[in-house]
Amino acid sequence: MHNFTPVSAIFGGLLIALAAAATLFLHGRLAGISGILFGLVDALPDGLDEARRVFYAAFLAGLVLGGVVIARLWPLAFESQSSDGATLGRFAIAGLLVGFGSRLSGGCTSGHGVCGLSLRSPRALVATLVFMAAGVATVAVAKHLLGLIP
Amino acid sequence: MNSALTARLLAVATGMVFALGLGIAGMTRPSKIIDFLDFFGAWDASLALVMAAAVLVGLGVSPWILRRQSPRLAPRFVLPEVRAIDCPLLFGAAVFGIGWGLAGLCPGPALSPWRPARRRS
Repeated sequence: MHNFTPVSAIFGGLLIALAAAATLFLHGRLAGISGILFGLVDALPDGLDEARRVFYAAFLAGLVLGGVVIARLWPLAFESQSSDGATLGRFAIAGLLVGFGSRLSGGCTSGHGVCGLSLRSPRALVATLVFMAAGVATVAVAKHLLGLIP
Repeated sequence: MNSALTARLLAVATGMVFALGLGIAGMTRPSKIIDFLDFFGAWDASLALVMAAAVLVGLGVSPWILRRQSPRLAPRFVLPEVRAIDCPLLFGAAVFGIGWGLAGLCPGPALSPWRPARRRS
């Protein structure tokens, strides 16, 4: 095992839990990022559910703003990727799969993996086990068999 | 300060805390995610602890929050009503996992600016 960082992992996890708990306590919603993003996209045209739209937009603004703050204070939290065609193509395909899959299954790592499990949802548990297994299989094939990931 | 503005500011602050958690946990670095999923290479278990910490706290506080009549700033709790474990769930989660493993990014970190600020050299 390498690069194991238990302290920052637990501390980061606690902050994510704090944000998720605050979202439920204050706004009565789950802090699943794909759900919030798709919820905003869905709520844009109808203009009916003002409170919902405002919450989604404000939360996402905070998420992006938080990223900007981290990038300023601690650039090492991010890493540069090479900009060759293979890497760009890999990220583009991955983005499509992540968007399509999280929409279809109704959640992502945060929605199913954190919020759903916290609510003891069997659906979220199944989704989490499936996407973990798929992720492990993908890295095994893409990295070790095909050499697509450096 | 009026309550609508308070709700907005708190939602922004909550999103920032979430991003901060992702950044500190290492989830904004695709290589960290890929190392976590790399069971057949140099496995890095860190992200299991991120999830364990978040879920343990969530398991503890969620029932306590949901015992309230309503959330603090909204009329009622809005939770997913879908319970089915069906094909869209299984297929969607599998497709999501493939994308997650391929680039090491899930929606939260992907929305944070994962390209670093240009370093002066």
